[in-house]
This record gives sequence, C-alpha cells and structure tokens, in this order.
Amino acid sequence: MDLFIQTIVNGIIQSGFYALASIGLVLVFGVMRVVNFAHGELVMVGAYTVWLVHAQHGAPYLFTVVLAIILVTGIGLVMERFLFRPMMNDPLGGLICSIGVLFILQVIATYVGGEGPSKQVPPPFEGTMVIMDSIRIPYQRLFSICVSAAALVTLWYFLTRSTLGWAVRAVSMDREAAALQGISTVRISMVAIGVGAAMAGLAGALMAPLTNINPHMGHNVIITAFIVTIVGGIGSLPGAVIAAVLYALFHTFVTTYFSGTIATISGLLIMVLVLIVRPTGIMGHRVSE
Amino acid sequence: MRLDVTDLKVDYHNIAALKGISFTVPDGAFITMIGSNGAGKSTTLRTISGLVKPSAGTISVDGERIDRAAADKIVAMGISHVPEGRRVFKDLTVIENLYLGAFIYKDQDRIDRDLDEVYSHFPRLRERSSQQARTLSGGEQQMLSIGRALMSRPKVLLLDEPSLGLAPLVVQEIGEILQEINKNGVTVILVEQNADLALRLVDYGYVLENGRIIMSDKAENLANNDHVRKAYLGV
Repeated sequence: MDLFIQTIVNGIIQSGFYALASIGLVLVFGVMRVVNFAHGELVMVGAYTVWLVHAQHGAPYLFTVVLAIILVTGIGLVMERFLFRPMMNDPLGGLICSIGVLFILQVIATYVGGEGPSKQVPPPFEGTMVIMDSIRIPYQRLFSICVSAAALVTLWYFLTRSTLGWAVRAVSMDREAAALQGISTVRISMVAIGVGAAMAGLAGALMAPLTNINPHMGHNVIITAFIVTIVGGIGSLPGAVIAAVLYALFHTFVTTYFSGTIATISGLLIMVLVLIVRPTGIMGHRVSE
Repeated sequence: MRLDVTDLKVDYHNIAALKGISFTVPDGAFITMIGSNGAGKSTTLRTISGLVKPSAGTISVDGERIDRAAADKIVAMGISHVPEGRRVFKDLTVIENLYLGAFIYKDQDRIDRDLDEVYSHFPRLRERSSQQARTLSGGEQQMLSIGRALMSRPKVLLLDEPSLGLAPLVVQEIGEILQEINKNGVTVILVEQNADLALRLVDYGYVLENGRIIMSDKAENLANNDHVRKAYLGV
C-alpha cells in the first residue's frame, strides 16, 4: 500500500516535468504548424546550463535556473527568426531545419561537456520530507513540482485571461482569420516559441539535479512530448496537460512495478492506439473545412 | 473612405483568378459583386484585405496604396473583412472573439462602447457572450463574424457570402443590419451568390465572370437585365 501511494506521489511529481517539457511542442505546432524536433534538445540545453554554471562553476542554483530560461528562450527566438520564419509556408522544411538544430545542439553539448559518463548535479535542496512515516518526498522534487505547477498556472492564465493569450490561441485556430483582426502572425509566432522554449529551459533546469545529463537526453523528452501531444489532442494545450498527468502516472506505475523500458514501449503503443481509435486525442477537435 | 481598384490581376499557381479588374467604390456606398463560383469575387476581397498578393494592378484607399501591405496592417487602415465561412475562433467565447476584433486598439473605454454597439446590432450575441463560439448556430456565428469585424472600427467593410447556408429569416435580419451599418457611414462591399438578396440591399452592383467585370450598373437596372435575370436570379 505504501509503495502504491508513493508511486502516485512520484507520478504526480513526474507529471510536472512532462507537462512543462511538452507544452512548448504543442504551442509551437499550434501556432506555426511546424514540428520542432529540436524541442528535446532545448530541455537538454537547460540541464547543461545548470550542470556547467552551477555544478562546475559554483554559481547559485536559482541563478542558473533563470540563466537556463533566458538562454533557451534566446535559442528558440533565433530558430524562429532564421529557420521557421523563412520556412513559413513549408512545414516539412521547418521540420528538417529543426532536426539540423537537434544535431548541432547535441554536438555543442558534447564539445562543452565532453564524452564519457552522464553528468550528475548534486541536489541543491537537500533533505526529504516524510509524510505519515512512509511517503517520502525529497525537497528537490517538491521544489520542482511547485515551480512546474506555478509555471503552468501562469501560462494557463496568460492563454485564457489576456488578449495576447487569446491572440495566440486564435492564430493556432485560424491564421488567416487572425491576420484579418490585425494580429501579426510573426509576432505571435515569436511569443509562442519564446514561451515554449522558456518552459523547456525551465524543465531542463529543474530536471538537472534529478536525472542523468548527457547530450542525448532530449531523445526521451521528445518521445514523451509526442505521446503527450498526440494523446492530448494535437494543438490542444489543456489536452496536453491532462495527457501529461495521465501519462506520468502511467509511466511511473509501470516503471515501478515492471521496468522503464516496458513503460516507454507501452506509452508508444497507447499513442498508436489513440491514433487509430480517436485520432483527435482527448481534447482535440476535428478540423472541418 | 473611397476605394480604388485599378487593373488588378491575381494568379494562383499560374492560373489567372483575376484578369485585370477596375472599379471605384465611393465613400459611404453600398455595392455588391455577384457572380458564380470561381468568378473571382472572393479573390477580389482577399486581395483587398491583403490575404492574397496581386501580380499586377493597384488598390488604394483615399489615394493611399495598400496593395503591398500585410493583412494585419490593412486592418489598421480601416478595412475589415468578414471572410467566407464565418471563420470565428471556435474555442474562444463570443466576447473573446469580439475583443480580438479590437486587437489593434488599446483604449478600453472606447472598445467597451464599440462592444455595446455590436450588442445593440446583435442582441443575441450579448445573451451568449460567455459561450464558446462553436456552440453558436450558423446565423449566430455569422453575426459574431460581422460583429468582430465591426470591433476594428472599419471605414470599409468587406463581406464574403454572409448568407451562405442560413435560413431566409436570418438572411433577412443580417441584410437589415448591413443596411444599418452602411447608414452609419461605413462603405460596404458585399460579395454574394444570392444575387436576389444582394441586389435588393445595395445601390450599385458589379457582375463578375471568369475573373473579369462584365457588367456594372445600378442595382435596379441589374435586377431587370436579361442576362443577370437568366444567369443569377433564376427567372
């Protein structure tokens, strides 16, 4: 029973990462209609920033979290300006460019961190909270889930309560109709990739002390993000968050009781099932034209 | 605001959609373009509002060229386009759709006054203001699309097939509101396949066939013209 409750707690903590790491992919696809394959590498860059500046050079952890957000947002904006914008009418071209960025960022990470074993960052927040003698939550994880939740709530507020947020959603629903309202799709694309990359950078920085850091860690992130995006309904942000929570619980349970590999394989199977049975996902709507 | 279109040509993938059309819409006029599917009516409106770039020719409002400007800049010049098929933002509420119509403005007091005016034209939108646009009927979505365009304070209003798929009573209602909007000083360009409706509403009409204007006259003359009666009025 204790293991069961502990697994639920672990799953909920994991869901924060999944949602944070996936939301950028959903935002960018929704607004720009381009699948950003380098999205997982944005998370990786966030984690590397913490490893390099905090663990290697002793800068305060919170400072490096902010630094990771700024750096990754910058990379996202550069990608928008020099790759996705010129490829605006060519989604396949955008996708291929993003795969190029994926490799470039992996090579840079290898250059900066060297090869060899994965890097570890000692948790800046030590100690563990114990509830009812049996459920253990390390403070580092508690910090991560609180920050993830705060970031997601802020994003939700932005998208549902501000005119700029409505404009972001309007562009993802209908670019042309949005342009007819005087909404600049270029500006909104910058907002979408900026916010998405910031979330990815944050996810990487939060994950850094809790995971193995290596140049290929973005791989797992992008698989998770695809599963979450497709199960949630492509382009649906609420769907992505719901799917992130469900998938995190599922993945954590299967990992705990079976193994991580089986968990990922079954996740992909679920994704395929969703594509066959309900291609619109949990929250997606059929596009009628 | 006066609109001048001169020798406008538009190509889609090397197929000529508009083969050089010219017309002038005086300030405050209410005109229509009638024609069958593929005649170039929608293309004309889409080119004026900047969604499509012309391959030749000019478009200007009050003497100022707009044919090189992007769609989101043209709205700020006083031209609003109610696109074919309503194109409301379905996952947003009615009031969010309307506020996005005023996206280019920041003066909240004036925006709220405009909102009241839209609601006075379309009381049903006020009743449904917090409903998602996808839950509205076709007629209500059309009203929302027109209301959204009015929120950008247009001097020229372009409407593409607003009657499509709507019940006759709703069409009647929307027609009356368009006349009201025109009386308030807005220049209105109505594109319609429902020529019968269009010619009853407007002062002046153009007939498009195969990317060319083949005829233009006062609405009552067009309604009595043999070719128009046979081809578009079905009598």
